[in-house]
This record gives sequence, structure tokens and C-alpha cells, in this order.
Amino acid sequence: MAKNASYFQQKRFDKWDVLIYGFILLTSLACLIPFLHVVAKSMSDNAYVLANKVFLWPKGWNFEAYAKVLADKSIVRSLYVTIIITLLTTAIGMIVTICAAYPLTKRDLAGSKVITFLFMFTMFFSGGLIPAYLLISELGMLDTIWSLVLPTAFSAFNLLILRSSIRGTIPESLEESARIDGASHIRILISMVLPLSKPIMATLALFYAVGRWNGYMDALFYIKQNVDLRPLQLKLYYLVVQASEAVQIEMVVTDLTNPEVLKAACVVFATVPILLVYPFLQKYFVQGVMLGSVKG
Amino acid sequence: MKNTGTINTTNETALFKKQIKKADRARAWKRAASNYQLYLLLLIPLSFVIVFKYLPMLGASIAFMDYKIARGFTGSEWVGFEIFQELFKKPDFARALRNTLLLNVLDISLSFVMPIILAILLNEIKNQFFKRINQSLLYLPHFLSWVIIGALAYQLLGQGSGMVNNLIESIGLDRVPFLQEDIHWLFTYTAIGVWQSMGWGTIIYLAAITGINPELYEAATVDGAGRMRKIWHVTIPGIRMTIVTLLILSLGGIMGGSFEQIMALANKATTEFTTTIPVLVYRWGIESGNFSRATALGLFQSVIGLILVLSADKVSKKLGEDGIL
Amino acid sequence: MNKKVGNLLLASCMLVGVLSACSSNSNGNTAPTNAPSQNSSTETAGFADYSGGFEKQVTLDIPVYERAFEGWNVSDNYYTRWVQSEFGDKYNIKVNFVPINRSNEVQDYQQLLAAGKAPDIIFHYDYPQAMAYYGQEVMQEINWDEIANYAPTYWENTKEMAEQYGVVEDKNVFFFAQRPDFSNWVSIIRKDWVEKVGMKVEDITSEAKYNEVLAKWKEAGLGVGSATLPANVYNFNIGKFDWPLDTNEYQLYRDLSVADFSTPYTEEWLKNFNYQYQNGLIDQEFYIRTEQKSEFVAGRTGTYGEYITSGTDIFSSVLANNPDAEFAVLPVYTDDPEGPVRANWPFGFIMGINHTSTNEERIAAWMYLEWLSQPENLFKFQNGVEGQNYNLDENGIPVKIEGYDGESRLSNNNNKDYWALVIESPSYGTYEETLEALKSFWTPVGYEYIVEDMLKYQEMQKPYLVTDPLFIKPIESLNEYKADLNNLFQELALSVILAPEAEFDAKYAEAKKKYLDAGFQEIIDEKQAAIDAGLVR
Repeated sequence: MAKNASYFQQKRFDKWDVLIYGFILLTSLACLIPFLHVVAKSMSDNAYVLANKVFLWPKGWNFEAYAKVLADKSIVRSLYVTIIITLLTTAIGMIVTICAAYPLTKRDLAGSKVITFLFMFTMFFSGGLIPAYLLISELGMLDTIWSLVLPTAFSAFNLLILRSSIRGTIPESLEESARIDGASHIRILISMVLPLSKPIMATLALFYAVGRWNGYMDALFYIKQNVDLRPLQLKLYYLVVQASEAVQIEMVVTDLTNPEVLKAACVVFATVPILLVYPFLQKYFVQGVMLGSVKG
Repeated sequence: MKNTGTINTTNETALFKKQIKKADRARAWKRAASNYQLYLLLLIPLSFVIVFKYLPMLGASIAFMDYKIARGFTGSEWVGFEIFQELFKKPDFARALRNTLLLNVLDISLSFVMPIILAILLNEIKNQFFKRINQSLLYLPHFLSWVIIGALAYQLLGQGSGMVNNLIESIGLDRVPFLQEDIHWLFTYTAIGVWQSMGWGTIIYLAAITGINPELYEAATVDGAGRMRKIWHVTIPGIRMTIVTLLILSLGGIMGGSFEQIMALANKATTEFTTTIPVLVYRWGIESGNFSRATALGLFQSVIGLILVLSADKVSKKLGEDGIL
Repeated sequence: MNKKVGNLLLASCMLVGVLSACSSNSNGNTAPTNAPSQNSSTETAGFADYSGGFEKQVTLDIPVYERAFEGWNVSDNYYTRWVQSEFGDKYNIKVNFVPINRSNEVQDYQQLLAAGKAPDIIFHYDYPQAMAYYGQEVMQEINWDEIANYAPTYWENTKEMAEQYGVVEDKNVFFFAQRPDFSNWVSIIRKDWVEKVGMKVEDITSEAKYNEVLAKWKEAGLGVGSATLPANVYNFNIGKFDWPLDTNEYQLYRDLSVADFSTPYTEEWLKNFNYQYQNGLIDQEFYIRTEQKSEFVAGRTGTYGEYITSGTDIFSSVLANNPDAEFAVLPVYTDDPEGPVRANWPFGFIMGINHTSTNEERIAAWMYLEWLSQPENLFKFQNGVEGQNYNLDENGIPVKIEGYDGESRLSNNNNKDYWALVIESPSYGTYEETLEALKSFWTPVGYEYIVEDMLKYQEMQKPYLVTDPLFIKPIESLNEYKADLNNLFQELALSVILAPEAEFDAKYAEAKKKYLDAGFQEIIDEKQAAIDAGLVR
């Protein structure tokens, strides 16, 4: 009976709930409003946008910017390219990260400290722009899809997060008992550790995906001749640059589209697809149910 | 071992010790061999990291050279620490150092705490629909570039015609120079930084929270714990490891920061705190095409960050936490 | 064996292997091809004759800006194929067009140079950056006679500039593209506002009159004048220099890349700025604006400047927000003391030859420039095919056929990035004919009077045009302090402008000292030494 009472106690909407819901709501609004502003700008008439008269609602409905983005036939192709490289980077990234994180969860693995340090070191030190370019060039990866996938496919930060998450959620006793039963490390990894780590894996997959989706500076320099491989963000970047460039200095006529509205449309166009991914991943963020099965 | 009553001679002790060592080593080898699969697994990421991270890292040596592109890495003249000395002597460096530390410490303290609070609060929300929608809304700022955020910030917070100030004036108060006075700027900058990153940061913590054993919550309920006590005694300890790891790692960025964030929010009249090391990396290095300098400053940032992380790691181990290494 | 040790061994082998590959590559770059003049001096007969083509095929890599125009492949299109068939095939040259990112071009070049993939020609629009390339030792020394031999037309057009500006530290390094003197910068003012306060635009003939107009605007509550703080490009006080010019002073202080904060001319400029600001005549928050357009379009400021083109949206945008607006061009201040006006450089692209280019590749480059300089080739590149891209009107000026989408269509900026290697703007015969043609590019429909007035005022300024001084020796302290001084200039200028009028003198003196101490004094000293040594043009 006591249990039921406290259960009901939980169910009732108390004053804390009001505060919490309220706080979250306000904070979310603070995050949503600037985005709405960008969306509104993207659908407004450029004269009003220029005058900074657009705030949350479009003024002078105008979809010219979207028309311009979609008129570029290669935009669809670049969207396709971006999806491919995002999937590849995420897949390869997750595999590499898991291969690194799992062995390092074992505190007694000989050399684990050194190896962890080796990985961690890469978070701090890098060669710079020119050596990175030289490497890609030497490896013959310029103008290929791999230049956009491989360099970014591993993040030591994600590795450390994964490692501490596995250490935290999966007790050693569980693995010990599986080892005693004769299971190999890889077997344990695949059939036990991974399924139990779904939330953190979903998180890291999201990190890899978003990181790859948003980036374009590498494509700017690595993809030159093979224009079909330009990712979406790069194409949008070029669109905006073309529109806002002071080509007048060079005294020739260009087709000028108001860069402000175009910039806003590009932001929306590039962001909405990836925003739609998270809700699908949220289903992995479910409470783990396995821990009840651990006996001593 | 045979338990003789006699006292062992020194020789026998030495022999005894040697045999123990050998047995230990044999066991160690056996353990390592049984772990061969783990080493195999490690092979993949290690080779990855060596090729894509360590090889280019050799290029960081241009921080010690008078790098001329035509001469390449091997032909450029070696100058040792000259570049570092040059840079440290410049008057702006000291100011940048101070500002970088100031901004990053402020940022770490506030930006770090906010996602944790939000994650905990979100976890308390029972209505799944409300929870999911808000989760997605909260990380929207992560997707806006600093250029856009900067322009918007001035539109809203500008002292002359910013909307927020218009509102403030209409209720009878004085207009606030959010971005146009040094101390105000400091706090506005930090607040905007928190706003931009807090939603994205909750994702990790939410994932960590789902890893907490639900039985612990049930046990707490049975013990009569209310919501606050549950948070304090179950939720927070449950994600402690994640918090510590992220805290240590964030210390690695103590000398870093976002150049774009400063550029977007700074203006030329409020300049006390706006020169930071990343800004100098851009101004002295990239903008002038001087890669030796950019790399040297980058190395400086990295070394300080690494030292801090290692120290924090040691401290956390002393306090009983897991640490990084 | 311990797997971990084996791991490390494998890693170090890979390391050594790739390292040696890397270093051998860069080693290959370390020996710059020696000055060709040494070779040709042994050929007493002169230069080899390649009019029949090269024996062994030469690969010529020409840089082109990549602007990612939709549907346009910079390296492979009708015109690149045309170049190959008309020029390349004739001389057994394979012409490659190497895309260079228009934004981030310096980084792009540096990466390509480091990897040994840079084109044979290295170009840039700014002289300081060209000097920076020279400082990186990526350009080889050139022989003027060689250019004269293989590219006589091109050399005839550009040799003066090369001899004037292309010699650095006694080495011939740079060659140039022509830049006919046309400018489409216009300063626009709200005519309706001026007339509302009882004045006429034509009467604004001095700084003082302009301030008067602003004061009247403020009184009438119409709006303010726009203002902007110069950044990185300094041209703000040139009109205040003494006229006739004190050459030494002009050469010492006039610099596009670093401001002369300590001169009385800047003091004068700042005083006026301070006056305007403190009296509310100009935009009170000008220093937080990243652009001037929004204030003008919203109708809060009454002046605006831009490079005008026929496709500009400035007028329609202003009218959308302020239906009664009228526009006029701000006149030249004829009542103010005379002073110099900045003339544009006579050159467009500043170019050098890649230090790794072989003799044949370099000669092929001259031959290409020669071919490109031929009027008929240039014309086709700039206009396309008659009957498809354009039709000739009665004056022989090509008139673009709108909407042509066929095979020979030009890139979105009229192939500019290809022919800019020899000339900055299309040429339609004489100066006057070209001007007429350009006017059509510049004039939005209904605003012909704006362009006419702009040209009229340009004419009035012609007698005062002076080019900036150019130092043909790298000024070390300039490279060292430029970035910091640029930053400091803005800080100091603002501190002076935002101070109350009574404090102006004190603030300026303080700021001036700071600026000089931060490196400007060193720059001045070094420049004076260079002037005394005659190393300035």
C-alpha cells in the first residue's frame, strides 16, 4: 500500500513540474526564435530584409531564393553526395571508435595507458592546413570521396566518451561471467556490449553525422576538378559568396540576387534535413533494461 | 611452496623472487595473448590515427622554421624557438592571454553547467511529446553560424535601436549597452555562448542518464525520497563519470576558443576583452599567410591544454574518479 | 611476438616510408630553376623558335578563378576546348586550366605550391600579397627580352608597367595585365531629403556644406548621414594632402594597406568625423554596422556608396521602403582646397612564373599571353560567337543576345577570369567606345542620369589623379606590423571620434603616440630610407 501511495505521489503534477516545464519552455523558445527569424527572412521580399524589417514573420512573401537554390540542378546531386559522405563517415567513424573504445575499457590491458594517451594526444596537436593538404595529396585522395570521409572519420573525443560510457554502464562482472563461459572478446563486444550501449552509440553517431554534414572547408580545397562531388554546404556557400561578392570592382555584369535572403534560404535548406534526423534517433534514448539481470 | 621451518638463505630468497617474477611474466604474457583480439581491434584505429593525425603532425615543425613554401619542410631554415619568442614579446600577446583565460574560464563554468541542468530537468519531464519537441528545439542554435548569430545579436541588443533595449526603455528603465560596454560585453558574450551550445550539450547527458539503472530510482522511491533527493542521490551520481570526463576534456580548450564567435560579437569600440589567442592566430598567422606563426601559436595552445588535461586527470584520480588515462 | 610491439614497428615503417616520399617531393622543389637569362646568354643566336610548336608536348597550367557558377565547368567548357584547338594543338601544348578558389585564394595557392601542383602562373590582385608570394620564393626570375621575343603584342601593351613595378630587389619578377581606367563607384544621396530642407544637391560643394545639409536633416527629423570606419583599405584622407604634392611626404605616408594615423591630414579627417558624430549628424551606431546598405534602404540614412551595375537593387529596395525617395549623385567638393585623388593602379592582375616551371613551360606561358592578346581572340573570349551570343549594332559594338543558352555561352561573369590575364575590362575599340559599352553594363533602367553624373564628376577629378607610391623593395616592418596596426587604427580612431569635442586634441595626441609606438614609426623610418635610396615609384 505504501508503494502505491508514493507512486501516486509521483504521478501528481506538483509545483516543481510547473517550474520545470516553464523553464524548459522558455529556454526552448529562446532557442527557437532566432531560427524562426532566419526562416522568415528566407521567405521575405529582399527590400524588407535589407531594411531589417523582418523579424518573426515573413514580410512580402517571396520564394525567389528557394527557387534559385533549387534551380541549380546540381543542388540535388550535392544533397545526394552529402548524404553519402555523412553515412560513410558515420559508419566508418563508429566502427573505428568502437574498435578503439572497447579494448580500452579494460583497465588491466597491458599498454592501455600508452595507447589511450596516443589517441588523446591527437585531440590537441595537429599539423595545420598545409600538412593536411599534403597528406591528402600524397595519398592520391584529392578529388575523391575519401578525402571527405577518412580524415574526419575518427574523433578521440568521441572515443573517450564511449569508453567512459561503457565503463559506467556495463559492469565488469557481466563481462567476466561471459568470459568464463568461453565467449571471445569480439563476441562479447558484438552481442553484449553494443546492444546495451545504444543510447551513447546513437549520440556519437549523431555527432559524427552532424559534424560531417555541417563542414565544407575541406571540400573547398580537396574537391576541385570533380565538381560532381561537391557537398551541399559547399554549394550553398558558393551561392552566397557569388551573390554578395563585390564583383562590381571587376566591372562586369553579374546576376545579383539579394545575398541576405539567399543566405537565409541556404541556412534553412542545409539545416532542415539534419534536424529531422534527431527525432528518429530519440527512440534509442530509452532506459536500459538489462541491469536487472546482473546477479552479484 | 614447501613450508619448511628453516629460514631460507639469501640465495634461496633471490631464487624464490626470480621464480615469482617469471611466473608473473608468464601470466602476463598469457593474459596478453588471450587479449590478442583486443589488440587486433586496436590495430584499426591506431593505423588510422597514425596516418591521418600523426603524419601531418610532423608538419607542425614549421613552428620552428622560417618556413618558405618553395623550400618545403626539409629545406626551410631551422630557427628553434625564435618564432615563439617573437610572438610572446608582442604587446598584444599578454592581453590576449589574459582575455583567453578569462573568457574560457567563464565559458567553462557556465557553459559546462547549463547542459547538465537542462538534461536533468528534461529527464524529469514525463510527457514524452513535450520532452522530445523541446529537446529538438534546444539544439537549434548549434546549427546557426556565428555570422548570423552576431547580426541577430546586434539587432536585438544594440543600444541605439535594438529590440530588447526598446522594450527595456518602454518599461521605464535605462537602455543597456549589452555589447557596447566592456563588462557588459563580457557577460553578454558568455551568455550567448552558453545559449548556443547548451542544447547540443544535453544530448550526451541525456544519453548517460538513460544508462542509469531504473532499480535505483525505485529503491529511492521506496526509501521515501522526493524528486529533488532522487536527482541528487541517483541521477547526478549516475552520470558522474560522464561529467568528470567532459570536464577534464573541456579544460583542454583553456587556451582555445572560437575565432568566429569573437568576430561576430565584437565591435571596434568595445575592445578590452576582444583580443584572444584564436584571434591572434588568425591575425598574425592565417590572415598574413604566415603559417609558421599560426602553427607556433597553435602549438602553444595545444601544449597548455594538454598540460592542463593531464593535471586535471591526476587530480581526479586522487579524488577517486576514473580519469582519462 | 608481442602484438603491441609489432604494431609499433609497422607504424614506424609506414612513417618512414611516407616521410621519405614527402620529403623527396619537397626536395624536388628546392632547387629553383635558375635565371633563364643564363641559358639564353649562351645562345648567342637569340631565342629558340617555337613557331612550329614544341618538339615534346608541353603541359601549360593556367590558373582560373573558380566561382562555382551553376552548370559551368571551369576546366572543361567550350572556351577551354577552343583554346586547346586554336592555340594548344598548334604548338603542341596541352593547356590545363587549374581552378583557384576565389575566396581563400591565398590558402589555395599555398597548398598547391606546397604540394607541387600549382599552375605555371601565380597571380594576385594586390601588390602586398604578390610581394608575399615573392617572399616565399615561389616565383622565378624572368627575362624581359624573352617576353618581348615570344609575346611581342602582350609586351608592347604591358612593358611599361613591368619595368616600373615588376622589378623587386633588382630581379625581374612580376608581369601584369592591363587595367583601363574605368571606375563605377558612385556616392548617392537622397535628393528628396536635400530639397525638403530647402537646399539643392548641386550646392553641396564643400565639406562644410555637406555638414550643413546633415544638420538640417537632423533638425527636420529626416535622418542622418552614413558613416563607416575604414578597415584594411585606407583611402580616407587622400584628398587632404597638400596640393601640389610634396612628393617625399606623399610617398612616405600614402599607403593603401596601413593608415597614416599620425599625419595632420588624418587629424583633420578625424576632427570632422568627431564633429559629425558628436553633433548627431551621422549614424550614432556606425561602428557596429557590418554594412551600410540596410540603413539606407530602411530610410534612416541619406547617403550611400557602391559600385553601380545595371542589376543593382539599391534603388528598388529604397523605394519599396520609402516610396517618395529620389536620388542624386553627391557632387565633387569644388569649394574645398584642392587635393589629390587616388588613381587606380594601371594594372589588374600581378603575375609571376612558378619557380618549378621549366623553360618550355614558361615560354609556353608567354605564347599563350601573346595569343590571348590578339584582338580577335580577346574579342571572342569576351563576347562569344556572333549571331549566337551577340549581334553587332551600327557602331560595331556587340549587343548581348539575352537568354542565349547554347554551347558557346559565356560564364556568368563573361569569361572574365580567363581573359583577365591580359586585361581587366572588355575593350571595344577606343576609350570612348569602350566607355559607351561599359555604361550599358553600369546603368540600371531609369537611372541613366546617375551614371552620367558619376562620369561627369569623374571627369572633374581627372587632373588630380595620382597613383599610390609603390616600393619595389619589401618593407619588412610593414609586413611585421600591418595586421596589428590595422586593428589598432580602428580602436584609436573610434576612441577619438567617440570622445567629446572638448577632449579631441588630448585624445588625438595620446592616440597618435600609441600608434607611432606600436610600429608605425618604424615603418616610416624604413620607408624614408627606401625613398632616399630611390626604391619607390
